[in-house]
Amino acid sequence: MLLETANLNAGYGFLHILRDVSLKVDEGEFVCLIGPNGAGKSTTLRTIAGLIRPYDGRVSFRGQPINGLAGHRITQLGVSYISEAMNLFTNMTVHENLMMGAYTIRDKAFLRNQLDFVYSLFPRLEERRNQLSGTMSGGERKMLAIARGLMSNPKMVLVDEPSFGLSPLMTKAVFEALDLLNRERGLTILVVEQNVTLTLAATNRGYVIENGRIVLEGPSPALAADEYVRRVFLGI
Amino acid sequence: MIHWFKGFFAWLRTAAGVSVSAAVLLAAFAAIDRGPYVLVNTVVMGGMLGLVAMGLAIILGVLNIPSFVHGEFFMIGGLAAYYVITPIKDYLFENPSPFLAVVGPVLAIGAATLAGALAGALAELLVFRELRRRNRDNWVMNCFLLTVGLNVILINGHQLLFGADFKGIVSYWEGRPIELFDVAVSMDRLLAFLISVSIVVGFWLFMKYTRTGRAIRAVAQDETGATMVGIPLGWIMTLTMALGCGLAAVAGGSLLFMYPSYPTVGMEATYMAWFVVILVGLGRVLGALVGGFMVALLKIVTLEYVGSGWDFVVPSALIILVLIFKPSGIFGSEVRGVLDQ
Repeated sequence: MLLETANLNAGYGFLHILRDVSLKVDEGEFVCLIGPNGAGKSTTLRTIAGLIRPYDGRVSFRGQPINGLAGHRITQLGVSYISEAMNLFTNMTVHENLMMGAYTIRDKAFLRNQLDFVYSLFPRLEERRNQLSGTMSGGERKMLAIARGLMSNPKMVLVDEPSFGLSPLMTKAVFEALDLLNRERGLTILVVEQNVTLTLAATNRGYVIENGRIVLEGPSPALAADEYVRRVFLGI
Repeated sequence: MIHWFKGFFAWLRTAAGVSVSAAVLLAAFAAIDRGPYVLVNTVVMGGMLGLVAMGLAIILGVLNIPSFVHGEFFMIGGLAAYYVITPIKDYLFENPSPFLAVVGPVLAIGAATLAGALAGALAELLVFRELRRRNRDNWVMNCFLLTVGLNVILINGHQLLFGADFKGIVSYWEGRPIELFDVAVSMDRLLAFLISVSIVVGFWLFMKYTRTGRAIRAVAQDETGATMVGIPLGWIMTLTMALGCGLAAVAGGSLLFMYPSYPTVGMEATYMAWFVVILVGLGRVLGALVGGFMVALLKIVTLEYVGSGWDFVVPSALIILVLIFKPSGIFGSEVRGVLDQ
Protein backbone atom coordinates (compact mmCIF):
# COMPACT_ATOMS: atom_id res chain seq x y z
CA MET A 1 0.00 0.00 0.00
CA LEU A 2 1.51 3.32 -1.04
CA LEU A 3 -0.65 5.67 1.01
CA GLU A 4 -2.97 4.80 3.81
CA THR A 5 -4.92 6.88 6.29
CA ALA A 6 -6.52 5.25 9.30
CA ASN A 7 -9.22 6.91 11.42
CA LEU A 8 -7.98 10.35 10.55
CA ASN A 9 -9.53 13.21 12.55
CA ALA A 10 -8.57 16.73 11.58
CA GLY A 11 -9.85 20.28 11.29
CA TYR A 12 -9.05 23.91 11.95
CA GLY A 13 -8.84 24.77 15.64
CA PHE A 14 -12.23 23.99 17.19
CA LEU A 15 -13.76 23.28 13.80
CA HIS A 16 -13.66 19.49 13.60
CA ILE A 17 -14.01 18.48 9.95
CA LEU A 18 -12.65 15.00 9.22
CA ARG A 19 -14.14 12.18 11.27
CA ASP A 20 -12.44 8.80 11.12
CA VAL A 21 -11.41 9.04 7.48
CA SER A 22 -9.74 5.82 6.33
CA LEU A 23 -8.62 5.43 2.76
CA LYS A 24 -6.02 3.47 0.85
CA VAL A 25 -4.24 4.20 -2.39
CA ASP A 26 -2.16 1.52 -4.06
CA GLU A 27 0.87 2.11 -6.23
CA GLY A 28 -0.06 3.16 -9.78
CA GLU A 29 -3.71 3.87 -8.99
CA PHE A 30 -5.71 6.91 -10.09
CA VAL A 31 -8.12 7.49 -7.22
CA CYS A 32 -10.68 10.23 -6.69
CA LEU A 33 -12.33 11.66 -3.62
CA ILE A 34 -15.68 13.22 -4.44
CA GLY A 35 -18.27 14.95 -2.34
CA PRO A 36 -20.26 18.13 -1.92
CA ASN A 37 -18.90 21.52 -0.84
CA GLY A 38 -17.53 21.56 2.68
CA ALA A 39 -17.45 17.77 3.00
CA GLY A 40 -13.75 17.75 3.88
CA LYS A 41 -12.19 16.80 0.54
CA SER A 42 -9.55 19.52 0.56
CA THR A 43 -8.99 19.09 4.29
CA THR A 44 -8.13 15.44 3.67
CA LEU A 45 -5.49 16.36 1.11
CA ARG A 46 -4.11 19.18 3.24
CA THR A 47 -3.80 16.82 6.19
CA ILE A 48 -1.97 14.20 4.13
CA ALA A 49 0.32 16.91 2.72
CA GLY A 50 1.23 18.00 6.25
CA LEU A 51 -0.24 21.50 6.02
CA ILE A 52 -2.69 20.64 8.81
CA ARG A 53 -1.75 18.58 11.84
CA PRO A 54 -4.36 15.86 12.48
CA TYR A 55 -6.01 15.62 15.93
CA ASP A 56 -5.48 11.88 15.83
CA GLY A 57 -5.35 8.97 13.45
CA ARG A 58 -2.56 7.75 11.26
CA VAL A 59 -1.25 8.61 7.79
CA SER A 60 1.36 6.28 6.37
CA PHE A 61 3.32 6.48 3.16
CA ARG A 62 5.08 3.29 2.01
CA GLY A 63 4.41 1.81 5.42
CA GLN A 64 6.05 4.69 7.33
CA PRO A 65 3.92 6.94 9.52
CA ILE A 66 4.01 10.52 8.17
CA ASN A 67 1.30 12.20 10.25
CA GLY A 68 2.70 15.07 12.24
CA LEU A 69 5.67 15.54 9.92
CA ALA A 70 6.18 19.10 8.63
CA GLY A 71 4.90 19.76 5.11
CA HIS A 72 8.33 20.09 3.54
CA ARG A 73 9.40 16.66 4.88
CA ILE A 74 6.40 15.03 3.23
CA THR A 75 7.32 16.64 -0.10
CA GLN A 76 10.86 15.36 0.32
CA LEU A 77 9.51 11.83 0.86
CA GLY A 78 7.82 12.00 -2.54
CA VAL A 79 4.26 13.21 -2.02
CA SER A 80 3.53 16.33 -4.03
CA TYR A 81 0.48 18.42 -3.22
CA ILE A 82 -1.08 20.62 -5.92
CA SER A 83 -3.49 22.96 -4.19
CA GLU A 84 -6.73 24.46 -5.42
CA ALA A 85 -5.35 27.98 -4.96
CA MET A 86 -2.18 26.82 -6.75
CA ASN A 87 0.10 28.82 -4.41
CA LEU A 88 2.39 29.86 -7.25
CA PHE A 89 5.21 32.32 -6.67
CA THR A 90 3.51 35.14 -8.56
CA ASN A 91 6.53 37.45 -8.79
CA MET A 92 8.72 34.76 -10.29
CA THR A 93 8.83 33.65 -13.89
CA VAL A 94 7.49 30.31 -15.10
CA HIS A 95 11.02 28.99 -15.26
CA GLU A 96 11.87 30.18 -11.74
CA ASN A 97 8.67 28.59 -10.42
CA LEU A 98 9.66 25.28 -11.96
CA MET A 99 13.15 25.56 -10.49
CA MET A 100 11.58 26.15 -7.08
CA GLY A 101 9.48 23.03 -7.65
CA ALA A 102 12.75 21.12 -7.95
CA TYR A 103 14.03 22.52 -4.64
CA THR A 104 14.53 19.01 -3.25
CA ILE A 105 16.60 17.89 -6.26
CA ARG A 106 20.31 18.59 -6.14
CA ASP A 107 21.45 16.56 -9.16
CA LYS A 108 21.78 19.06 -12.04
CA ALA A 109 21.47 16.54 -14.89
CA PHE A 110 18.38 14.99 -13.34
CA LEU A 111 16.90 18.46 -12.85
CA ARG A 112 17.34 19.28 -16.54
CA ASN A 113 15.70 15.97 -17.36
CA GLN A 114 12.67 16.83 -15.23
CA LEU A 115 12.46 20.27 -16.82
CA ASP A 116 12.46 18.77 -20.32
CA PHE A 117 9.79 16.32 -19.23
CA VAL A 118 7.36 18.94 -17.87
CA TYR A 119 7.96 21.20 -20.88
CA SER A 120 7.16 18.30 -23.20
CA LEU A 121 4.01 17.66 -21.17
CA PHE A 122 2.94 21.32 -21.32
CA PRO A 123 4.61 22.95 -24.37
CA ARG A 124 2.64 26.12 -23.59
CA LEU A 125 4.79 26.65 -20.50
CA GLU A 126 7.99 26.58 -22.52
CA GLU A 127 6.62 29.37 -24.73
CA ARG A 128 5.96 31.39 -21.58
CA ARG A 129 9.06 30.46 -19.67
CA ASN A 130 10.12 34.07 -18.98
CA GLN A 131 6.69 35.41 -18.12
CA LEU A 132 5.80 36.23 -14.51
CA SER A 133 3.45 33.52 -13.30
CA GLY A 134 1.05 36.05 -11.78
CA THR A 135 0.31 37.51 -15.22
CA MET A 136 -0.82 34.28 -16.89
CA SER A 137 -4.33 33.01 -17.57
CA GLY A 138 -6.08 30.62 -15.18
CA GLY A 139 -5.49 27.57 -17.37
CA GLU A 140 -1.80 28.33 -17.82
CA ARG A 141 -1.38 28.84 -14.11
CA LYS A 142 -3.06 25.52 -13.42
CA MET A 143 -0.67 23.83 -15.87
CA LEU A 144 2.24 25.54 -14.12
CA ALA A 145 0.98 24.39 -10.71
CA ILE A 146 0.83 20.80 -11.93
CA ALA A 147 4.21 21.08 -13.66
CA ARG A 148 5.77 22.55 -10.52
CA GLY A 149 4.33 19.71 -8.46
CA LEU A 150 5.90 17.20 -10.86
CA MET A 151 9.36 18.80 -10.82
CA SER A 152 10.33 17.12 -7.55
CA ASN A 153 9.79 13.71 -9.23
CA PRO A 154 7.10 12.61 -6.76
CA LYS A 155 5.94 9.03 -6.26
CA MET A 156 2.46 10.36 -5.72
CA VAL A 157 0.57 13.58 -6.37
CA LEU A 158 -2.41 14.95 -4.48
CA VAL A 159 -4.42 17.17 -6.84
CA ASP A 160 -6.99 19.51 -5.34
CA GLU A 161 -9.81 20.59 -7.70
CA PRO A 162 -8.00 20.57 -11.05
CA SER A 163 -11.13 21.96 -12.75
CA PHE A 164 -11.52 24.93 -10.39
CA GLY A 165 -11.89 28.14 -12.41
CA LEU A 166 -11.15 26.47 -15.74
CA SER A 167 -13.17 26.30 -18.93
CA PRO A 168 -14.60 22.85 -19.81
CA LEU A 169 -12.05 22.54 -22.61
CA MET A 170 -9.14 23.36 -20.28
CA THR A 171 -10.50 20.98 -17.64
CA LYS A 172 -10.51 18.21 -20.19
CA ALA A 173 -6.91 18.97 -21.16
CA VAL A 174 -5.81 18.88 -17.51
CA PHE A 175 -7.51 15.53 -16.96
CA GLU A 176 -5.91 14.15 -20.11
CA ALA A 177 -2.50 15.19 -18.82
CA LEU A 178 -3.18 13.51 -15.45
CA ASP A 179 -4.38 10.37 -17.23
CA LEU A 180 -1.24 10.33 -19.36
CA LEU A 181 0.98 10.69 -16.29
CA ASN A 182 -0.85 7.86 -14.59
CA ARG A 183 -0.73 5.45 -17.53
CA GLU A 184 2.67 6.18 -19.03
CA ARG A 185 4.68 7.20 -16.01
CA GLY A 186 2.92 5.02 -13.48
CA LEU A 187 2.36 8.06 -11.26
CA THR A 188 -0.05 7.47 -8.39
CA ILE A 189 -2.70 10.18 -8.23
CA LEU A 190 -5.28 11.09 -5.62
CA VAL A 191 -7.60 13.73 -7.00
CA VAL A 192 -10.34 15.74 -5.31
CA GLU A 193 -13.07 17.05 -7.59
CA GLN A 194 -16.54 18.54 -7.74
CA ASN A 195 -17.03 17.65 -11.40
CA VAL A 196 -18.23 14.14 -10.62
CA THR A 197 -19.04 12.87 -14.13
CA LEU A 198 -15.69 13.71 -15.60
CA THR A 199 -13.76 12.49 -12.58
CA LEU A 200 -15.48 9.14 -12.39
CA ALA A 201 -14.86 8.65 -16.11
CA ALA A 202 -11.13 9.32 -15.71
CA THR A 203 -10.26 7.47 -12.50
CA ASN A 204 -9.97 3.81 -11.51
CA ARG A 205 -11.45 3.97 -8.06
CA GLY A 206 -13.25 6.48 -5.87
CA TYR A 207 -14.32 7.46 -2.40
CA VAL A 208 -17.41 9.52 -1.59
CA ILE A 209 -17.09 11.83 1.40
CA GLU A 210 -19.95 13.59 3.17
CA ASN A 211 -19.80 15.66 6.35
CA GLY A 212 -16.27 14.51 6.99
CA ARG A 213 -17.02 10.79 6.75
CA ILE A 214 -16.37 8.33 3.94
CA VAL A 215 -19.81 7.06 2.97
CA LEU A 216 -19.10 5.00 -0.13
CA GLU A 217 -16.17 3.52 -1.96
CA GLY A 218 -15.65 1.37 -4.99
CA PRO A 219 -14.43 1.21 -8.59
CA SER A 220 -15.28 4.40 -10.49
CA PRO A 221 -17.66 2.78 -13.05
CA ALA A 222 -19.59 1.16 -10.18
CA LEU A 223 -19.81 4.50 -8.36
CA ALA A 224 -21.00 6.21 -11.53
CA ALA A 225 -23.78 3.62 -11.78
CA ASP A 226 -24.61 3.74 -8.07
CA GLU A 227 -28.17 4.79 -7.29
CA TYR A 228 -27.16 7.10 -4.41
CA VAL A 229 -24.34 8.83 -6.30
CA ARG A 230 -26.56 9.35 -9.32
CA ARG A 231 -29.31 10.89 -7.22
CA VAL A 232 -27.13 13.12 -5.02
CA PHE A 233 -24.32 14.24 -7.33
CA LEU A 234 -25.50 13.75 -10.84
CA GLY A 235 -29.10 14.76 -10.25
CA ILE A 236 -30.44 11.88 -12.32
CA MET B 1 16.64 52.95 -28.65
CA ILE B 2 13.39 54.90 -29.10
CA HIS B 3 11.58 52.14 -27.30
CA TRP B 4 13.99 52.50 -24.42
CA PHE B 5 13.38 56.27 -24.24
CA LYS B 6 9.63 55.76 -24.27
CA GLY B 7 9.93 53.35 -21.39
CA PHE B 8 12.08 55.84 -19.50
CA PHE B 9 9.58 58.68 -19.98
CA ALA B 10 6.72 56.44 -18.91
CA TRP B 11 8.67 55.56 -15.78
CA LEU B 12 9.31 59.29 -15.10
CA ARG B 13 5.57 59.84 -14.80
CA THR B 14 5.10 57.11 -12.18
CA ALA B 15 5.30 57.86 -8.47
CA ALA B 16 8.73 56.25 -8.34
CA GLY B 17 9.97 58.29 -11.30
CA VAL B 18 8.66 61.58 -9.90
CA SER B 19 10.18 61.03 -6.48
CA VAL B 20 13.52 59.73 -7.72
CA SER B 21 13.93 62.61 -10.18
CA ALA B 22 12.84 65.11 -7.52
CA ALA B 23 15.49 63.64 -5.22
CA VAL B 24 18.16 63.86 -7.91
CA LEU B 25 17.24 67.51 -8.63
CA LEU B 26 17.25 68.36 -4.93
CA ALA B 27 20.66 66.71 -4.53
CA ALA B 28 22.05 68.59 -7.53
CA PHE B 29 20.68 71.90 -6.25
CA ALA B 30 22.06 71.38 -2.75
CA ALA B 31 25.43 70.29 -4.14
CA ILE B 32 25.74 73.41 -6.29
CA ASP B 33 24.37 75.75 -3.65
CA ARG B 34 26.19 74.50 -0.58
CA GLY B 35 29.03 72.42 -1.94
CA PRO B 36 29.59 68.77 -2.86
CA TYR B 37 30.09 67.67 0.76
CA VAL B 38 26.27 67.42 0.92
CA LEU B 39 26.48 64.65 -1.67
CA VAL B 40 29.30 62.86 0.13
CA ASN B 41 27.34 62.88 3.40
CA THR B 42 24.20 61.69 1.64
CA VAL B 43 25.97 58.82 -0.05
CA VAL B 44 27.67 57.58 3.13
CA MET B 45 24.58 57.89 5.29
CA GLY B 46 22.24 56.66 2.54
CA GLY B 47 24.24 53.50 1.97
CA MET B 48 24.15 52.60 5.64
CA LEU B 49 20.50 53.56 6.08
CA GLY B 50 19.79 51.47 2.99
CA LEU B 51 21.37 48.43 4.68
CA VAL B 52 19.31 48.89 7.85
CA ALA B 53 16.11 49.41 5.86
CA MET B 54 16.81 46.41 3.62
CA GLY B 55 17.10 44.28 6.74
CA LEU B 56 13.78 45.61 8.01
CA ALA B 57 12.11 45.08 4.63
CA ILE B 58 13.25 41.48 4.30
CA ILE B 59 12.10 40.62 7.84
CA LEU B 60 8.76 42.23 7.06
CA GLY B 61 8.45 40.43 3.74
CA VAL B 62 9.48 36.94 4.78
CA LEU B 63 8.49 36.63 8.43
CA ASN B 64 5.66 39.16 8.43
CA ILE B 65 7.08 40.82 11.53
CA PRO B 66 6.77 44.62 11.77
CA SER B 67 9.95 44.97 13.75
CA PHE B 68 10.26 47.88 16.15
CA VAL B 69 13.34 46.31 17.66
CA HIS B 70 15.33 46.59 14.43
CA GLY B 71 17.49 49.51 15.57
CA GLU B 72 18.55 47.57 18.65
CA PHE B 73 20.44 45.21 16.36
CA PHE B 74 22.22 48.33 15.06
CA MET B 75 23.05 49.03 18.72
CA ILE B 76 24.27 45.45 19.25
CA GLY B 77 26.49 45.79 16.18
CA GLY B 78 28.05 48.98 17.53
CA LEU B 79 28.55 47.41 20.95
CA ALA B 80 30.24 44.30 19.57
CA ALA B 81 32.49 46.38 17.32
CA TYR B 82 33.44 48.61 20.27
CA TYR B 83 34.47 45.70 22.46
CA VAL B 84 36.55 44.18 19.66
CA ILE B 85 38.23 47.34 18.41
CA THR B 86 39.11 48.87 21.81
CA PRO B 87 41.55 46.14 22.93
CA ILE B 88 43.02 46.06 19.43
CA LYS B 89 43.55 49.84 19.52
CA ASP B 90 45.11 49.59 23.01
CA TYR B 91 47.45 46.87 21.81
CA LEU B 92 48.34 48.89 18.71
CA PHE B 93 49.18 51.91 20.86
CA GLU B 94 51.90 49.87 22.60
CA ASN B 95 53.19 47.96 19.57
CA PRO B 96 52.35 49.53 16.23
CA SER B 97 51.73 47.08 13.41
CA PRO B 98 50.44 48.20 10.01
CA PHE B 99 48.93 44.79 9.37
CA LEU B 100 46.80 44.77 12.52
CA ALA B 101 45.82 48.40 11.92
CA VAL B 102 44.14 47.32 8.70
CA VAL B 103 42.77 43.96 9.87
CA GLY B 104 41.53 45.20 13.27
CA PRO B 105 38.58 47.28 11.98
CA VAL B 106 37.61 44.49 9.59
CA LEU B 107 37.57 42.08 12.53
CA ALA B 108 35.47 44.53 14.56
CA ILE B 109 32.88 45.00 11.81
CA GLY B 110 32.83 41.26 11.16
CA ALA B 111 32.21 40.64 14.86
CA ALA B 112 29.42 43.22 14.78
CA THR B 113 27.71 41.44 11.89
CA LEU B 114 28.05 38.07 13.55
CA ALA B 115 26.74 39.35 16.89
CA GLY B 116 23.73 40.96 15.22
CA ALA B 117 22.96 37.87 13.14
CA LEU B 118 23.24 35.64 16.19
CA ALA B 119 21.01 37.93 18.24
CA GLY B 120 18.47 37.97 15.41
CA ALA B 121 18.47 34.17 15.13
CA LEU B 122 18.01 33.91 18.90
CA ALA B 123 15.11 36.36 18.82
CA GLU B 124 13.44 34.23 16.14
CA LEU B 125 14.06 30.93 17.92
CA LEU B 126 13.16 32.08 21.44
CA VAL B 127 10.33 34.50 20.75
CA PHE B 128 8.74 34.47 17.30
CA ARG B 129 8.94 30.72 16.62
CA GLU B 130 7.25 30.05 19.95
CA LEU B 131 4.45 32.47 19.08
CA ARG B 132 4.10 30.94 15.60
CA ARG B 133 3.82 27.45 17.08
CA ARG B 134 1.12 28.47 19.54
CA ASN B 135 -1.13 30.88 17.73
CA ARG B 136 -1.16 32.66 14.41
CA ASP B 137 -4.25 34.77 15.01
CA ASN B 138 -3.56 38.51 14.96
CA TRP B 139 -0.01 37.65 14.02
CA VAL B 140 1.09 41.12 12.85
CA MET B 141 -0.31 42.92 15.91
CA ASN B 142 1.10 40.37 18.36
CA CYS B 143 4.50 40.53 16.70
CA PHE B 144 4.45 44.31 16.82
CA LEU B 145 3.83 44.17 20.58
CA LEU B 146 6.54 41.53 21.04
CA THR B 147 9.10 43.61 19.17
CA VAL B 148 8.27 46.66 21.30
CA GLY B 149 8.77 44.53 24.41
CA LEU B 150 12.03 43.15 23.07
CA ASN B 151 13.10 46.73 22.36
CA VAL B 152 12.58 47.67 26.05
CA ILE B 153 14.43 44.54 27.21
CA LEU B 154 17.43 45.14 24.95
CA ILE B 155 17.74 48.84 25.76
CA ASN B 156 17.56 48.22 29.50
CA GLY B 157 19.74 45.14 29.21
CA HIS B 158 22.42 47.29 27.57
CA GLN B 159 22.13 49.85 30.35
CA LEU B 160 22.29 47.17 33.05
CA LEU B 161 25.24 45.24 31.66
CA PHE B 162 27.31 47.89 29.89
CA GLY B 163 26.20 51.15 31.47
CA ALA B 164 24.60 54.22 29.98
CA ASP B 165 27.75 56.02 28.87
CA PHE B 166 28.81 56.56 25.28
CA LYS B 167 31.05 53.76 24.05
CA GLY B 168 32.61 55.11 20.89
CA ILE B 169 35.83 55.57 18.99
CA VAL B 170 37.27 58.54 17.14
CA SER B 171 38.08 56.59 14.02
CA TYR B 172 38.74 53.05 12.79
CA TRP B 173 41.49 53.75 10.33
CA GLU B 174 44.34 56.15 10.87
CA GLY B 175 45.54 58.23 7.99
CA ARG B 176 44.81 61.46 6.25
CA PRO B 177 41.39 62.15 4.71
CA ILE B 178 41.16 61.70 0.95
CA GLU B 179 40.26 64.61 -1.30
CA LEU B 180 37.20 63.93 -3.46
CA PHE B 181 35.63 66.85 -5.40
CA ASP B 182 37.39 69.30 -3.06
CA VAL B 183 35.87 67.56 -0.05
CA ALA B 184 38.00 65.91 2.57
CA VAL B 185 36.49 62.47 3.08
CA SER B 186 37.81 60.52 6.03
CA MET B 187 38.91 56.94 5.44
CA ASP B 188 36.16 55.74 7.78
CA ARG B 189 33.42 57.31 5.67
CA LEU B 190 34.88 56.05 2.45
CA LEU B 191 35.15 52.52 3.81
CA ALA B 192 31.64 52.67 5.26
CA PHE B 193 30.42 53.43 1.76
CA LEU B 194 32.50 50.65 0.21
CA ILE B 195 31.20 48.19 2.80
CA SER B 196 27.60 49.08 2.05
CA VAL B 197 28.15 48.76 -1.71
CA SER B 198 29.83 45.37 -1.44
CA ILE B 199 27.18 44.04 0.94
CA VAL B 200 24.35 45.21 -1.31
CA VAL B 201 25.92 43.57 -4.35
CA GLY B 202 26.62 40.36 -2.45
CA PHE B 203 23.12 40.32 -1.02
CA TRP B 204 21.54 40.84 -4.42
CA LEU B 205 23.59 38.04 -5.98
CA PHE B 206 22.70 35.77 -3.06
CA MET B 207 18.97 36.43 -3.38
CA LYS B 208 18.96 36.05 -7.16
CA TYR B 209 21.29 33.19 -7.92
CA THR B 210 21.59 30.84 -4.95
CA ARG B 211 19.19 28.07 -4.06
CA THR B 212 18.74 29.39 -0.53
CA GLY B 213 18.27 32.96 -1.73
CA ARG B 214 15.56 31.87 -4.12
CA ALA B 215 13.94 29.90 -1.31
CA ILE B 216 13.82 33.07 0.82
CA ARG B 217 12.05 34.91 -2.01
CA ALA B 218 9.68 31.98 -2.44
CA VAL B 219 8.73 32.03 1.26
CA ALA B 220 8.10 35.78 1.02
CA GLN B 221 5.77 35.27 -1.94
CA ASP B 222 3.83 32.24 -0.75
CA GLU B 223 4.48 30.39 2.48
CA THR B 224 2.17 27.48 1.69
CA GLY B 225 3.59 27.18 -1.80
CA ALA B 226 7.10 27.10 -0.34
CA THR B 227 6.15 24.27 2.03
CA MET B 228 4.57 22.41 -0.89
CA VAL B 229 7.81 22.40 -2.88
CA GLY B 230 9.75 21.15 0.12
CA ILE B 231 11.35 24.30 1.53
CA PRO B 232 11.91 24.02 5.31
CA LEU B 233 10.12 27.12 6.62
CA GLY B 234 11.71 27.11 10.07
CA TRP B 235 15.26 27.18 8.74
CA ILE B 236 14.50 29.84 6.12
CA MET B 237 12.85 32.06 8.72
CA THR B 238 15.73 31.75 11.18
CA LEU B 239 18.19 32.48 8.39
CA THR B 240 16.20 35.50 7.17
CA MET B 241 15.98 36.94 10.67
CA ALA B 242 19.74 36.46 11.08
CA LEU B 243 20.40 38.11 7.69
CA GLY B 244 18.07 41.05 8.33
CA CYS B 245 19.44 41.72 11.80
CA GLY B 246 22.98 41.20 10.52
CA LEU B 247 22.39 43.98 7.97
CA ALA B 248 21.38 46.36 10.77
CA ALA B 249 24.36 45.28 12.87
CA VAL B 250 26.92 45.75 10.09
CA ALA B 251 25.69 49.33 9.75
CA GLY B 252 25.95 49.79 13.52
CA GLY B 253 29.49 48.43 13.49
CA SER B 254 30.63 50.45 10.47
CA LEU B 255 29.20 53.71 11.81
CA LEU B 256 30.66 53.36 15.32
CA PHE B 257 32.83 56.45 14.68
CA MET B 258 29.67 58.54 14.09
CA TYR B 259 27.22 56.84 16.44
CA PRO B 260 28.87 55.68 19.68
CA SER B 261 27.03 52.78 21.27
CA TYR B 262 24.70 53.75 24.11
CA PRO B 263 21.39 52.17 25.18
CA THR B 264 19.02 54.14 22.96
CA VAL B 265 21.25 54.66 19.93
CA GLY B 266 19.06 52.24 17.97
CA MET B 267 15.90 54.35 18.22
CA GLU B 268 16.98 56.66 15.42
CA ALA B 269 17.90 53.70 13.23
CA THR B 270 14.49 52.11 13.84
CA TYR B 271 12.59 55.27 12.96
CA MET B 272 14.69 56.04 9.93
CA ALA B 273 14.40 52.46 8.62
CA TRP B 274 10.63 52.67 9.03
CA PHE B 275 10.54 55.98 7.17
CA VAL B 276 12.35 54.30 4.30
CA VAL B 277 10.20 51.17 4.29
CA ILE B 278 6.94 53.14 4.37
CA LEU B 279 8.24 55.48 1.68
CA VAL B 280 9.14 52.74 -0.80
CA GLY B 281 6.37 50.30 0.07
CA LEU B 282 6.40 47.39 2.48
CA GLY B 283 8.37 44.35 1.39
CA ARG B 284 10.38 46.11 -1.36
CA VAL B 285 13.90 45.01 -0.51
CA LEU B 286 15.91 46.67 -3.27
CA GLY B 287 13.57 49.67 -3.24
CA ALA B 288 14.62 50.12 0.38
CA LEU B 289 18.16 50.83 -0.81
CA VAL B 290 16.99 53.65 -3.12
CA GLY B 291 14.70 54.89 -0.35
CA GLY B 292 17.65 54.89 2.04
CA PHE B 293 19.47 57.40 -0.16
CA MET B 294 16.33 59.52 -0.52
CA VAL B 295 15.62 59.73 3.20
CA ALA B 296 19.30 60.41 3.93
CA LEU B 297 19.27 63.22 1.37
CA LEU B 298 16.14 64.71 2.90
CA LYS B 299 17.63 64.55 6.36
CA ILE B 300 20.91 66.16 5.31
CA VAL B 301 19.25 68.87 3.23
CA THR B 302 16.99 69.65 6.19
CA LEU B 303 20.00 69.92 8.50
CA GLU B 304 21.62 72.20 5.95
CA TYR B 305 18.76 74.59 5.18
CA VAL B 306 16.28 74.38 8.05
CA GLY B 307 18.51 73.62 10.96
CA SER B 308 19.32 70.77 13.28
CA GLY B 309 16.40 69.56 15.32
CA TRP B 310 14.20 69.59 12.23
CA ASP B 311 15.79 66.51 10.69
CA PHE B 312 13.07 64.25 12.13
CA VAL B 313 10.21 66.61 11.36
CA VAL B 314 10.64 66.80 7.61
CA PRO B 315 10.92 63.04 6.95
CA SER B 316 7.93 62.46 9.28
CA ALA B 317 5.89 65.02 7.36
CA LEU B 318 6.85 63.25 4.15
CA ILE B 319 5.68 59.91 5.58
CA ILE B 320 2.33 61.47 6.47
CA LEU B 321 1.99 62.67 2.87
CA VAL B 322 2.96 59.25 1.51
CA LEU B 323 0.43 57.53 3.77
CA ILE B 324 -2.32 59.91 2.66
CA PHE B 325 -1.65 59.97 -1.09
CA LYS B 326 0.22 56.75 -1.93
CA PRO B 327 -0.20 54.33 0.97
CA SER B 328 1.34 51.47 -1.03
CA GLY B 329 4.62 53.39 -1.22
CA ILE B 330 6.35 55.03 -4.18
CA PHE B 331 7.48 51.73 -5.65
CA GLY B 332 3.89 50.52 -5.36
CA SER B 333 3.98 47.15 -3.69
CA GLU B 334 0.82 45.10 -3.45
CA VAL B 335 1.48 44.85 0.31
CA ARG B 336 1.03 41.11 0.09
CA GLY B 337 2.39 39.12 2.93
CA VAL B 338 1.58 41.70 5.54
CA LEU B 339 -2.17 42.00 5.23
CA ASP B 340 -2.64 38.40 4.12
CA GLN B 341 -2.47 36.72 7.49
